Amino acid sequence: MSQESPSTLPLSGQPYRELTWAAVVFGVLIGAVMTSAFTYVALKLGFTLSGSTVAAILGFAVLRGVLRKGSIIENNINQTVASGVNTASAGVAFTLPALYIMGEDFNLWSVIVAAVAGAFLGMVVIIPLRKQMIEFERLRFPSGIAVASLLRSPGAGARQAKLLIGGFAISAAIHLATGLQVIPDELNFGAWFGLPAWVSLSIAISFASLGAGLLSGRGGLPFVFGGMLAWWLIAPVAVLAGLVPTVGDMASVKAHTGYDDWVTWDVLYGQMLRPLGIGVLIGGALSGVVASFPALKSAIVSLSSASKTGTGGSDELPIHVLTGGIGVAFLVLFGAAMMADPTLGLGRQLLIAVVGTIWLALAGLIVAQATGMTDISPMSGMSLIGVTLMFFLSGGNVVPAIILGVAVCIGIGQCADMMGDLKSGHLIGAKPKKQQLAQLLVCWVGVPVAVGTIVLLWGDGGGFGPGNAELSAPQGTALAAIMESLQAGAAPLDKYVAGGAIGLGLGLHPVGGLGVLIGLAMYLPFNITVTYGIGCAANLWLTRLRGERWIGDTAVPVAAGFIIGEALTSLGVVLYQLAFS
Amino acid sequence: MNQRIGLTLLIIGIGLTAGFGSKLSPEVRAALVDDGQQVMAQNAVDARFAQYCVTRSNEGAGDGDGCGDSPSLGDTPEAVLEQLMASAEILNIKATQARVEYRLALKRLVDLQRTSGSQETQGPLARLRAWFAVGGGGFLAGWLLLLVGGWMCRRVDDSTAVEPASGDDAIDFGTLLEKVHGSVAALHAQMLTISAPSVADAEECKRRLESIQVDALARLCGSGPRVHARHGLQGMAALFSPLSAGERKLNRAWAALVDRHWPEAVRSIGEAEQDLSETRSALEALL
Repeated sequence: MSQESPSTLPLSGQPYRELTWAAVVFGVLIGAVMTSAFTYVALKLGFTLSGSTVAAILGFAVLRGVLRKGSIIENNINQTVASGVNTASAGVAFTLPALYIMGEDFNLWSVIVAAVAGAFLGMVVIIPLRKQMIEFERLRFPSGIAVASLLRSPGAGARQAKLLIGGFAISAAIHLATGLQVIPDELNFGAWFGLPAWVSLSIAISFASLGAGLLSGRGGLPFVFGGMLAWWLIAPVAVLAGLVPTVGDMASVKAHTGYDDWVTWDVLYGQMLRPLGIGVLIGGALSGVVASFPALKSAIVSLSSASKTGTGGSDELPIHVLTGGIGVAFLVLFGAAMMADPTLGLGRQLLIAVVGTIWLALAGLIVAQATGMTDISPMSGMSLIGVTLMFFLSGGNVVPAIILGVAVCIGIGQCADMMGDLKSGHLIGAKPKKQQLAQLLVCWVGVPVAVGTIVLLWGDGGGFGPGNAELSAPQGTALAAIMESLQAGAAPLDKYVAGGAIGLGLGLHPVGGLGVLIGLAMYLPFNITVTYGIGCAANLWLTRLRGERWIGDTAVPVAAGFIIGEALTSLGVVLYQLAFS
Repeated sequence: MNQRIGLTLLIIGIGLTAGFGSKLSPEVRAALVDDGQQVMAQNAVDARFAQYCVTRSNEGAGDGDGCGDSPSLGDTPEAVLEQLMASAEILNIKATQARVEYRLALKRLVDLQRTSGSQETQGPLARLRAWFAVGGGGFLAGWLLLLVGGWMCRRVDDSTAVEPASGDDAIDFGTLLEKVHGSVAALHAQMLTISAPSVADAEECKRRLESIQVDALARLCGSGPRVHARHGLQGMAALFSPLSAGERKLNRAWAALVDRHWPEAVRSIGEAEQDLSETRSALEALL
């Protein structure tokens, strides 16, 4: 294809390259390397990175550059495979370390079996929703658009390539400067004006958030409204009305150094807004499922009839593969529950597997919707609810709760990743069936890599965790602390219930996904929401000034450049920090 | 008018439900006070310790009591306090004063730690009941407003969606669909006539395809909300299923043209034409 440009194009010969061995093998290789590296990064810094953009760029270099025969769509398969493998890094690194840190005795094989079951379940429950999310609701998936822009860049023309590179350069330079602490990572106007931390008036310097807002436009505005409600109304009122502990309550210790930070993050955010936001997310997603039931049904019926008749079926995985997959993955998860704690009893193990599967499906839907609308994933919150559910269902037993939590976390990650890749695929014309098949084939690969990395790093004991200067495992430590508080009987059920009711009520409004957007805004620190909101406002203003077409021709490649620039620079900054720390 | 009233009720409802929903039960608040006092006391200890170390250094007392390279006095505040009390080191007045302040801060922390833990953690159900007792009334009132506001907005939205389009939306879905279908069919027909395609042909087809995608197809695919309101969710699904498939195949044709794979481009354009034709049939069935 790209290796020759004679004046006459060939009319027969090789089929159009799509799902090839080169794409799959190369994707698995990149994915495995990224999984191992990002698991280490997660233990050190507490976050992982998305591998889609890295894989797409490496795909260009190897498939088109070195092998000189890759097509745009083949590179999409390569990127789908690599990011599908890498999804395990977050799922494992955020949960499994808690078991080591708490000093629990557990069967490592049960972790692997549960994680593999979670990866497959995540895939098979989200695939039938492709039509609903991408074709009917037409969710934006800003990162999916960014990756598609990157994949389309060979044919997008010089002007669009320049805009993409320009956006990339600006974003990369700024992110590099914040990463190396040359400039601050937020503009804290509140602190400049002497306002307390609970009057949040700061803007995160993140061109990826700005780009995501720019791509979302009007649809992202309720998200900003939710953030304003949480941080400009509820938070100040709660402090001023004494609904939270006040400075006066601290009088007995004759000191209130750090009160503002504590009340903002530990109380307002940790005890009120975040759990309420999680509840709103869940209620909003449930009401969304009810509201869009006819379309969901229609999407599944069309999958089913395509399978039976063969018409149009070549583009979708047959429904019986998906239902069969759900059955098999459920049985494997049940087996993992049995292995995790053989003393639990068959009834309880079955209950854990059933609830785990249902929760994984719902949480996967929530995370995919949130990512589709804003590019922000509430994965940790949904995993936390999953672990909490498993904890209560297992009668307060930490080991099966976390092991099933690993499965839920990986499954949720697969849902969001698959849907983002399917969006990229839609924009470049890939066949969904081939993308789904490729990711189904490899979604388990990251599990042994990530688990193996954790085991190796733990070594003879104490290889990571609190007190370890090299690898503090922040997410695992946080989960261990949450498990300890659950063991003490603390769970903000009131906030989850109240939030759930709000989310369900918001389902009546005609704007789809309102509950998910408002819940997500409450779940996040406000500075990210503001930056995203500026992007949405810029989109509206530019649309009015220049029109829709200009947005598509100019703003989209720039915004895609912003997202790609920050993603790749994050990787560079992390590598720099690891090398020089 | 109804739209504004609905939106106002919805906003007030969200504000009330979120406000009352985030209220803490008295027991949780009391536990947080306990927690906060310990955090503040710990912060005070850290600040006094840092101040003490700076004073020691400034006064030439060298390292000691955990400052600088000297070993830590203990793992717990209690152990550190005990060591400090037992210390026989003689310092000048400024350093002694800083050490006394550090010791006092430590003592407050130790006293707090001794008295804390007396409060039992409120379990999830008890917490839910206690929250409802203090915030349930306001929450329910807000929830009612939220439901009424949401319902009014939905009613208004449904009624305006079936009104005739105006301005940019004046060209309706059917007309736009016909235009896109016609353009794609013409492009497909032209591509079929080219027996020996050149790079220039591929570039020309790509340019025409981009023109269809940007000018009309984007508007067609962006009209989902109006189609939804007009034909219901099932109707929208019936239209958007083949339409989106057609859109994807046009994207595929574009990629194939960039990759200079002429047969795939022609095939994809042909399939897209068929999908658009199916969309037209689905629209006729709905009308």
